[in-house]
Amino acid sequence: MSNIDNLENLYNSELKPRLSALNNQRVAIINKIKKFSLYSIAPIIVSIFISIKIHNPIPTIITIVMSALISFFKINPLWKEYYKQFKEQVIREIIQFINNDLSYHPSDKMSQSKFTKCGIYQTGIDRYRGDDYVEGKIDSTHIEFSEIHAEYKTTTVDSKGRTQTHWYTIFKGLLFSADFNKNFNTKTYVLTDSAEKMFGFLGTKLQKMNKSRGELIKLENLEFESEFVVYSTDQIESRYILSPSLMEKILSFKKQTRKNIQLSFVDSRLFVTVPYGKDLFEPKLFGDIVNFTHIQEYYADLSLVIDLIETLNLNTRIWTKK
Amino acid sequence: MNIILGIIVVLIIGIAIMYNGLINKKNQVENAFGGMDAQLKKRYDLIPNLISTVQTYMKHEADTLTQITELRAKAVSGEISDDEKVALDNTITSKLGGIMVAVENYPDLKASDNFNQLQRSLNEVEEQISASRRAYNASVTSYNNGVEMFPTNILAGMMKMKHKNVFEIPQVQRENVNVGDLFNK
Repeated sequence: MSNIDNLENLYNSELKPRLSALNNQRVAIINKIKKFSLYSIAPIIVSIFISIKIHNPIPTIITIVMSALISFFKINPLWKEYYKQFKEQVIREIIQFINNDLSYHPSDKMSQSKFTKCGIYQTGIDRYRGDDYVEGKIDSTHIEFSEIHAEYKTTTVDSKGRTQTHWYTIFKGLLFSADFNKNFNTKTYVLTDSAEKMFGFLGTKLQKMNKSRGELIKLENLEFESEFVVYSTDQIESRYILSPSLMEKILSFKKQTRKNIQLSFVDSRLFVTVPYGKDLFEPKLFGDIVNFTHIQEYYADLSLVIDLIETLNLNTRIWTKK
Repeated sequence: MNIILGIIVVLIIGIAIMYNGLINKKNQVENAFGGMDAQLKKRYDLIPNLISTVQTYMKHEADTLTQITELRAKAVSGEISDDEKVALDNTITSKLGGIMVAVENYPDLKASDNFNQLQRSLNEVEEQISASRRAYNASVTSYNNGVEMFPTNILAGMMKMKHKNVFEIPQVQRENVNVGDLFNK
């Protein structure tokens, strides 16, 4: 039986009844929202009349803010409970289905120090958030990953002296880390090659001048070279890590994800960032959730990174690192 | 007058940049060869250990083991040219590969912890040697580009810099990978 068939069995036997119960919670939240919106209409209309009469917008503003606050305090606990139950009952089950040895911590994340240490993004971070932390050992290889959103801010003061803060995303998506099967002491970065693609030969020259991550490494796999730019603090060790077969495997992983994945090899560990535009592993509020297609999506996003161990052959332990 | 002076200054700066670039490339090749040498030394350090571990088991391969010991002694003596070094290294690689395949016939040896650890070390060194060869080839390619591409080729001609050959990865190197796979099963 294929994995998808097994997943469908799990869906029918375990997940479907749970999703039905969760769907009731979801419908209750929607009804609450409708109810509070309806209750707000009459006071708001009255307050508008008062505002027009006294030529002052404050009554309307107060009424709108009050209704919003009351709705929020009444609805938010319900949403939180639904959210928590969904992660515990559905996402946890899918992770255990993929691999029983993994542990799941819905509200934890990969620490900011790990994100900084991996060195893929060098911009200073002003806000760092994340959730859905998964950790465990698959055979000999320890892995961990979570969803991460790292941002920086800019503050500008306009001519009237008002300060405005803008937030910009540095990285949003999955940060994955695994124990690498070879020992190494240097740092190697495999990044998206944008300069060479855009400017060709001149791009390479520019990349050579960028010494922030060590020397530019030119590898013999042309397809790999056109997708990635490699920097390392050691010419030989970077090639020891990026063996010809690993380069092929990284390429096939990139094709599989169809995303701009980037990798780094630091402290004998492998780090991978997979960018996503959407929030991952979150329950839906609008639309039916009792649906196998949704489960397949969660499964696809999770198994993509967990199966990286297989894809990159990290359990091959024929070197001194056991 | 000023224009002529300007042109001369630009020309001198241009030549200096090209000259330094070529010297940089030449030194990188030497550095990469040194890196390769360092990895080969690591393997030479492993060989005595390996021989002493396997020779009590491997009676049929006694000749090959002696040959490897002799080749190693010659390689570490330091009295050979770079070309000889490369040739010697290829012979050692192929003989070691042969030994590693023959180990399959000695289950006791294969099961011993000592040998297991040695084999892991050897796999690691082989992989590092292959990495250092690729690093060497990359630096030779960059050097050859400098020597053969316009306009640096004119300067390289004057500096008597010649095309260098890249390292051909010998056939046995590929077989070694199979040994690793065999061991892994």
